[in-house]
Amino acid sequence: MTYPDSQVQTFVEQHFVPVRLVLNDDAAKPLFRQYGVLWTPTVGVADRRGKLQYQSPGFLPPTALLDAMRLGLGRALLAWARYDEAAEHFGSVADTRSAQAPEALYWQGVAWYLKARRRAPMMVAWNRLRAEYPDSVWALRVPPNQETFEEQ
Amino acid sequence: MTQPLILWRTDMAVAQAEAQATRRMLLIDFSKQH
Repeated sequence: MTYPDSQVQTFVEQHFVPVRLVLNDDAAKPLFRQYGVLWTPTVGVADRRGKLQYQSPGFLPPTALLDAMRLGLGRALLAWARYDEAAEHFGSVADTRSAQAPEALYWQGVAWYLKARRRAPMMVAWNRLRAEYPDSVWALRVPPNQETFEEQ
Repeated sequence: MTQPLILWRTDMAVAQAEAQATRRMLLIDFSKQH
């Protein structure tokens, strides 16, 4: 795993309580089953009740791992109705224009909708998603019958 | 390989209590010793 990267270390220390569960450890093994983790390495983000909110399987280079951690943190914050913080992390990933940017824009739209309970803010992110990543599976998740939404 | 500086916790219950106190989320590294 790419944890020796200093940017990754800093992000982990700033935002998470880091836990390492090793499959060979008898005490940790049941947690793999409990969380439905089928493959190592997997990076997960869980909330303080221990509910897993996000999984990222396999190895990732540092910049992609950083994006995955931001996405996971955003998803967990979303589940706890911390919409502004979630949207901020999704926005950081979107601005990198990395491979994970389309997923980040999708969830940024969700965060903005859940905060305002209005479509207009959501469609700002989703229109950007459709414009910048039209071939992404995340753009396909936006209902196709919605034409480009003009903010009112 | 450089020694990682991250202080990994290994006890979920302890980590959850820390997360509760600091309003942080848990980053879980599921790994295997080779």
